Amino acid sequence: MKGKSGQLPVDFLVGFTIFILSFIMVANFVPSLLVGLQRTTGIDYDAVAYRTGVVLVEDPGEPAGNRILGEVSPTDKMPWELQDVAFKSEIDRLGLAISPDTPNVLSINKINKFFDTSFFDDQFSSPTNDYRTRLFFSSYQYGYNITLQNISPMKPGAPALSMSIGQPYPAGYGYIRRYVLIRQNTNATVNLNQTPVEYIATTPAQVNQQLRIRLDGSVLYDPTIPPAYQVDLLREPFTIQVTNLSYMLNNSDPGNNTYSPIACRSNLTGLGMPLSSPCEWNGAAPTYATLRNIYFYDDTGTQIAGYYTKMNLTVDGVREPDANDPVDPSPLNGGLGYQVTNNITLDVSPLWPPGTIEFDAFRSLDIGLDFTEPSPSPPRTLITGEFLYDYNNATVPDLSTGMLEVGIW
Amino acid sequence: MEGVKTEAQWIVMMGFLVSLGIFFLAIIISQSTLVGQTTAEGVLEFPKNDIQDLKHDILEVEYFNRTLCTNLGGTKCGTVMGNISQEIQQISLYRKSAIASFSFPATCSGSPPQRDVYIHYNNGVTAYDEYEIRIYC
Amino acid sequence: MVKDGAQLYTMEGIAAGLIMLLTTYLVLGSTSVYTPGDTHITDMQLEQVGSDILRVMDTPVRLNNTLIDNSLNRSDLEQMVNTTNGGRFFSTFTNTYLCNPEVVANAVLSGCGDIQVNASVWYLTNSGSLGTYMVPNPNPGLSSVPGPGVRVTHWIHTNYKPGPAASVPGDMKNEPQELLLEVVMWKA
Repeated sequence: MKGKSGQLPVDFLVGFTIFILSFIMVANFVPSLLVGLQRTTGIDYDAVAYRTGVVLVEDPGEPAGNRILGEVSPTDKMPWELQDVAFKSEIDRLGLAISPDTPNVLSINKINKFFDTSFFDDQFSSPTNDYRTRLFFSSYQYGYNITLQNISPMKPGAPALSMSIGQPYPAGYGYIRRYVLIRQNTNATVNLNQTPVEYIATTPAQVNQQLRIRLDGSVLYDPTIPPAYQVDLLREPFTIQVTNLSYMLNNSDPGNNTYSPIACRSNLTGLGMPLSSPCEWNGAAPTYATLRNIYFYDDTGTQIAGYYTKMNLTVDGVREPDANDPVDPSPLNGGLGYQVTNNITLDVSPLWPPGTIEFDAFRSLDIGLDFTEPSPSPPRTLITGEFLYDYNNATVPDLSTGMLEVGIW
Repeated sequence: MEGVKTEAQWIVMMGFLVSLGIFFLAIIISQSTLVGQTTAEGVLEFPKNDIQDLKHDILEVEYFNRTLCTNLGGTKCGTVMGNISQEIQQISLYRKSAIASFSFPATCSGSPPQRDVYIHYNNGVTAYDEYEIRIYC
Repeated sequence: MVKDGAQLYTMEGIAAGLIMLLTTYLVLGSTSVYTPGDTHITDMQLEQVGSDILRVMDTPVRLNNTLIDNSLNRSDLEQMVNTTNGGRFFSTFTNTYLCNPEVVANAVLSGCGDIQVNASVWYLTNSGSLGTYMVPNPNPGLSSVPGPGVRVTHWIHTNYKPGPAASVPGDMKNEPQELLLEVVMWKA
């Protein structure tokens, strides 16, 4: 090679060329060795869909209250499905199961809250999308579509369930399907026209013009009942319908000019009418009673000040005071005062303690519908007694089956 | 060896270096086959449904023991419970390749009456023990 | 006449090229390149779906307040197994849950009709050995030969020996016992 001509020998070029060509061929093989290690499909969307399915179906969410349904302590945070929009930041995780011990059994209240897009932000490109941080736990902008529908019918009177959030499915996505059972809310009807006749005063001593609904925690949270079937009034709303009130009206003295000891007794202020004093309904029995107040009583029978939980009141088919206002039965402010001919319906919100715990697995709570006429008016209704909300008297709906689908892309 | 010319040996050296590099890559790649596992396989491997199902069934056995078994009479009930225990162990071992067993006290005690159930599960990869499942009688 | 001194370079070049190609051939032939098993995703989905269906079928929809007695079955699945009602089992499993046309129309697990199912029950015989019998399927479907599929199981507690006597083996114990229901799902 030494010389001054500056030309390379042909042999060198040939040899070098062969070497270089071989090198190029080999270098082209190397990426194919590594292709197996690359992310061929990008993010494993099916894994994210599976994880989301497990969180929704087998986890009660966070906060969810105590694992044992009837127990509550003052430091327990309010379950996420009862939370107000102002405290949305307290919700850490969205799960639909009733408790960790009941996988695949979902609560209808959690379902309704979860799919409520006026509460949770569902916008795809919104930086404050609530589902991403509370369900996927990722800041990556996953596209998602979550759908829940029922397979067997819902309870009588309830509409079919077909809810979804997210965006329409694209071409490729990860997917999981879960089958679930749905637990719905309970209700009870107090039919005042039943035989044998109950809830009516037959002696003066029984006249208290109040119907009590007894919610006994030790009956409802009986530990021998599996959690999937327990009536959990701490977390579930319930409805009480009082019907046929007309059968309780005070027609004990239908204008015969003789007074009846029952008709004259008024115990609102503790003053009894002297039995000798005649009191008549001016010839005609009352056609309505007046719902004066709704009281709450604790375990010992002491009245709780204010209202323990909100409720929607419907009197004879009309929402009172109006369609949007929950009743605030504040007896100190003059109370209610609705004329009831026949029916009262109370849609009571869950009894999660607003402060002091007055209802749980060891306590009972009474709701009193008070019809007491102010003294010295005689009572309009002879209603009295106590209705126990338990598994025999309340309608506990069957579990309905459903299907949940999660798509992620 | 004086007459042997060594000027062009650098070409072969380059060739050797490239070969060594390829071998090194091969070693790295071969390691990946040992540790690689997709998420789906990880999910399939963890016996979540088996454990949940086993726990559910054992609690049903406990309920049976407390209610219907007493109607069979003491001796018969004892035989049946022993057989049930054997069934869960044997079928689990031969069909699920897992060791599954349970135990709970014969009677309820305390106030309110209660007893604790113990569950054991081990399929060779995952072991699960739950000690105090409190059941109220 | 021609100097052959520089043939050295050619030789060396060829030798180096041969070495590299040989090495590459060896390496490609020996390492098994691991491609992620995408087929397992379907298995995972099927396994979860199958387990869910059996769990839902085995949950009673209402609380039976009375004590369970010998003649009552706690759940639909228990009743189907105890009466060996294979028709109802398969029709519930497939038509009500897995491939319900009203519900799955929106869902996207395509090829639902291709999924074949069979079920068997495992029990412990009188002598303590393992026994099994198939749950009869009145509509076996396109292919009765199982392909690669997914197996899901569910424990069933029964309060009496399943019947009718002609459908179950004679060596089953005649007392309350534990059974394992095995369902195999595969794509035909």
